[in-house]
Amino acid sequence: MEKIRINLTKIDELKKKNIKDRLWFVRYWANYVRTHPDKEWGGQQKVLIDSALKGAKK
Amino acid sequence: MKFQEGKIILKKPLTELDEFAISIIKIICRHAKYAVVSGYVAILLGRSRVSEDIDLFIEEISFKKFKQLFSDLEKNEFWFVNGDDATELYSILKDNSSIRIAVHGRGVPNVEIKFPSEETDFYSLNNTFRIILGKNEIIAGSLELNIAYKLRLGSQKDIEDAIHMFEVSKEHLNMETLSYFIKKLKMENRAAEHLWKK
Repeated sequence: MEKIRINLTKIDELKKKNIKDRLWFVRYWANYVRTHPDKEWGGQQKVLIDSALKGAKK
Repeated sequence: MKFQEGKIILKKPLTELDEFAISIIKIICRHAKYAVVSGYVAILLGRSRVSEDIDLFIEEISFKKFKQLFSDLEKNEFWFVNGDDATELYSILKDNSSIRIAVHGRGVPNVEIKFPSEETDFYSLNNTFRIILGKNEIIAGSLELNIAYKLRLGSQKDIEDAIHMFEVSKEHLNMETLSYFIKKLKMENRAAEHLWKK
């Protein structure tokens, strides 16, 4: 098998960045929920949850 | 999302998960005091994720009462994922383990029921607030404890749930209670990093 060089430090850095980005989004979304009518965020949440559960039924 | 004394009023469209939760809770509340805890509370309050289970504490009931709950659920097309014998299921609960209930023939989503065993479980069951969803109502355990407990559980998902619940409700939380549980659960550093941070 071909030998490849894996940069573990880079992967760890990407992981940290990914966590930071996710936490940014969680705060962004919480603020959206806090400042928008329930129907607006609820409609988006419904699409996400219902489609995931529909997938689980198959 | 409207916060009032002891309740949060939501006017969001119900998801399939909400409808499932409401249909089971309508039966459970006929037989025992209950409180929904953990991730589904974050989802009810708008978190953008799905969950395969809904965690719920019910007060410890007698075997006679449990058998009535068991029959009521079975009559309404639900089944117990981890067993079909009431005696066996009751002993799982008494053993401080959980039983899972789903729509007959399905595994997910499911409601995971436990009797309270730790002091925090009793606190959740005895310090609740109501989440009003149109004509329906779901009783949830203390939001302050839930946030601190999620920090303690500590997975990425749990920390995100804690941040979400805190951010949407921070103007209405009892900060003294939240700080108390953060201290009790030794989560001061995590709270400083994720909650108090600007």
